[in-house]
Amino acid sequence: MSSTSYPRKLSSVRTKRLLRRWEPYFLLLPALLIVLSFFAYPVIKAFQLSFMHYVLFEPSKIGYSGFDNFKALLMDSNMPRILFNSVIWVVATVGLQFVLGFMLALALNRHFRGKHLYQAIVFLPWAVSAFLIGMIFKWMFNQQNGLINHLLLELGLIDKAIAFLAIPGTSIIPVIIAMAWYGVPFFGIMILAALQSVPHEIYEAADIDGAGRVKRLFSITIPYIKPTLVLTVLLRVIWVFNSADLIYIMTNGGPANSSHNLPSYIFNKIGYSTDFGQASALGVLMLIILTVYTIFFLRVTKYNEAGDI
Amino acid sequence: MNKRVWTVILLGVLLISSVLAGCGNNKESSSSGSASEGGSGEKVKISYLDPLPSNERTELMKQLIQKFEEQNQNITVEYMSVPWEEANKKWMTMGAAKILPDVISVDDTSLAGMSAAGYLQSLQPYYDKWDQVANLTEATKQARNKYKNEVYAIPDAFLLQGLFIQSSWFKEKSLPETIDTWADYFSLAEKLTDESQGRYGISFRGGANGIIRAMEYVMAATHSDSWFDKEGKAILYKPEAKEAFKKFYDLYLNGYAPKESVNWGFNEMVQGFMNGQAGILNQTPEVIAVAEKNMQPGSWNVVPMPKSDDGKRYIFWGFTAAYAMSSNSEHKDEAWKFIEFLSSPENNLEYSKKNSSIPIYAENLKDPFFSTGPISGYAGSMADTNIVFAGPPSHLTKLGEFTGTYALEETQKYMTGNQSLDDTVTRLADWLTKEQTEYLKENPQP
Amino acid sequence: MQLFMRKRLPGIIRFCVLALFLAGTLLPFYWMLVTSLKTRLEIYGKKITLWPENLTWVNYAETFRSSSFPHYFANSFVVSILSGILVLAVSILGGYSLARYRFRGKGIILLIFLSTQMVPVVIMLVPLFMVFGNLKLLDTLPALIITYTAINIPFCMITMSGFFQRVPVALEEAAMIDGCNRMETVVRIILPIMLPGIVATFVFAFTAAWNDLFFGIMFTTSESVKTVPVGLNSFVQKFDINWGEMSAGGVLSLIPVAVLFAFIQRYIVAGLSQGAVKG
Repeated sequence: MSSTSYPRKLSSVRTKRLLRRWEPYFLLLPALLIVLSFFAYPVIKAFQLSFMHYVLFEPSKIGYSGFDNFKALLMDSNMPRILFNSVIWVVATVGLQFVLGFMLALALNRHFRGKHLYQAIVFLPWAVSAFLIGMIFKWMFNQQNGLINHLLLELGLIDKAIAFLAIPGTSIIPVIIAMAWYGVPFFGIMILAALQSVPHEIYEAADIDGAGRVKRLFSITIPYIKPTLVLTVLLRVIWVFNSADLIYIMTNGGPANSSHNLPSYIFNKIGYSTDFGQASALGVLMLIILTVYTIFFLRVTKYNEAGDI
Repeated sequence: MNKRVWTVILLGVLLISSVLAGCGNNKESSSSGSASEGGSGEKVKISYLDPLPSNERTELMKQLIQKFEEQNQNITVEYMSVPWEEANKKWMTMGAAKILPDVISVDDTSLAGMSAAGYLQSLQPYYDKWDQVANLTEATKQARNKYKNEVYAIPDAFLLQGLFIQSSWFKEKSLPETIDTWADYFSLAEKLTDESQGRYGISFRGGANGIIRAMEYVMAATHSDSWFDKEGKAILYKPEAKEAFKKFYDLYLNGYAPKESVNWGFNEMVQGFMNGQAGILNQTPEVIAVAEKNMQPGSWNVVPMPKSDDGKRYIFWGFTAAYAMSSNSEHKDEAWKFIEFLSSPENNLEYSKKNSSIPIYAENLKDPFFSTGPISGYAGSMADTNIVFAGPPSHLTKLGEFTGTYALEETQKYMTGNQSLDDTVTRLADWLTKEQTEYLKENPQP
Repeated sequence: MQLFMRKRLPGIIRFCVLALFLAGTLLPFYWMLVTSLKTRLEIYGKKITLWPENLTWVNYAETFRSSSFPHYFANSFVVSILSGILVLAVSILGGYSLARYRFRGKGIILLIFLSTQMVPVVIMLVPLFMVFGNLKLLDTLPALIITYTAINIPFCMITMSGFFQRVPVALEEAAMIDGCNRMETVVRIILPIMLPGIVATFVFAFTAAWNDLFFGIMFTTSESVKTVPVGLNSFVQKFDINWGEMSAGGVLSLIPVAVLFAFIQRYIVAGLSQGAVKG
């Protein structure tokens, strides 16, 4: 659409047309060059290794093994649990980040005294390394010297310190809390930036109509910033799905694998077994899951239509 | 129009060149691992990777390097480090990419695997010619630093298990401050536990490598000097071993250890002891230095490992991280020179003292340092004839996978009530037996 | 009452929300600060103190004395700023292309970019080691700059294209009619309007590089090229987590970023007062 918006001013010389046609590719070239030259080899290699027996400890046995790695993965009795955790991890984390980030952005989308300082503070978690966050939260959720247990005990909410990070099945919850804390500012900033691009005229028109706040939010604001919301959620889901560091630091998947997600499981496994074949197969599996998700997500949200203004 | 396109292209070129410029500007710090270009034969540069960096140790290693460089004007050594938790991954990755530093300190769980993968250089030719071999302690000669009967690493110094105790708790309950037998150990675990005060008997290791502690007791209870019987079957199949296994994990299941300890590894255990959660900690002498920093003086002590009912002590001992040479090193003679230097009696003594660990030379053990203070107990047990080595089968290349993931999952399932005792023990025994059988097939024992 | 509901209540709710967010955000920072000011004995002590009983600066002194923290800072800054700028420049170009043109293969290209984010980094490690090893770039800052740039481009570029899409095409057309060419239009009209988005994208790229631990640990071994998170990680030792010094290092590592945020968040606010379509 947009490409037809301009030609009024442009002559219709054929060479220029040709160049114009290549323009979008030229603009994308630097990004493509950097990204492809970095990722192409490792990703192709990962595909290759996924069909190989490739254990570093056994250099003499390295060779192609067909679908053995994938079969071994399907046979792995930990898999259902890990997949389930991965889904919980993504849904809970992104859900919390989104809802809280949206609230934060709405609250910030109006001037008040001390706003500069306030913004600088609440966006700060974003600037803390995952390592530090993992350590601080692990320390805070500690059974003996932990701040959280201490506060809960003082408030009388519990009468005995809880070993938050050691309860099978729920030890992932503190990690999700830490991850949400980390990600809220990201959503906050993205949504706030979007909110600020909503033209005032639209609101003014709505005010004349006498639309209520809540109605205004759902019928004007959200549709207007939908492309940003869609994109932010899409990107975050992929990112969170593929994120292992907080789990690795806080529980290392324990107890008994009950808090591993897919990437932290691979990470842990590869460290001891050096089975790069199986790890690559798992990676390929993740790639497939996420690609299907992405295509599905873009279809359902009609992102392409929304984006094409 | 044309102008516009050219501007775009120009901008693209500018960007790409700025990428390259960005690379060029920072060259000053480039110094890639083993790839030293000193082909002239004049100045040779080798690198050393330390997996145990800490303020004190890093300082010591740097001093030693400086001394080495003064003695060998044509060699420079670059000190590099990687945190312990990430060390194994880094070794394996660097090995696969053939860029391991010339000299690396490796622990015994990784040594066999790395040798098998072909990342390490056999030191046998150098070892045969080494003039210090005769002066080494028996423990050093017997150390698990070999792969296919060739020496792959020179031990730095030795560690063995001992028991750290909160002596103040013992005093409060007027208990004698010793743990003589395993029976005492179990009864003390119960006596010291007082949940209302948040006190537990044992700083339990439920996390990675926790199985090694459990097996230590299983070996003591079954009077076995290996995880396997002569036919290569895991001792865990024996009913009495299963009983011992149960008794050991009951410490956790009966609440004599903090609930949290199901996930504890090295440093959580040590913390659990230091923060006053647990009364007894099973650890190596390195921890003395840590405890000295973090605890009130006089509130803790170290006692030797308990005896089994046959009067012997079944103790795990091993080196901290032995010096090995990478097979991709381009300066092997220089690398050996450095290893030889670090392993000299004089430097080994200094190293052992600063790390509170047991030296590799018999002569060094006579130093007064090792007969006083908490370390004396350790040095003493090392000389005890009634000591049985109760370490893990480090000849298995997959030992790390077993102690770090497989056994971890199985025991955690048991500890959290998701798997029965029988299933757990059988699964552990099956895994071990399968690996041992394979090993015996490839390396027939005489 | 109705007036109260309409006029006052939203303000009160807003205040509560803001206060809760502030408290939730500050709690971990507070605990880190307090820990950094405690002695080792107090940190491991039985009693949990909400403020140090014996306030000490020894952790800070020790952090500076024993490790090369200023050096780590310098490295982190060089790496994060350079890769942030590169990511931003490339993302503006690519983002504009994705937002404003229709062309064949757009969907595929988008998917290629996204798919790079789906592969777990741990399996790319060995191939990357080989590539960087051959280029003699291992254990250098450029390896980290290239890595962070490549890894952060996809997200940043797609985010950027989202920002472009929100700027009405009419605005651009108007400028073109006024005689600007497309390049001028973008630079003079569009980019200033998008400043909040540009700032956000830069901050994203910057913090992603600033915070990374994994590649830092894997690609660097020499003291001279280590970054802040790698430095902090070394406080976790085999037997001992040095909570005091690690917290001190954590607090120190936050200061420059906090200053950066304090400075940069104004631009996000600036976008607000300008209004998007006034130009």
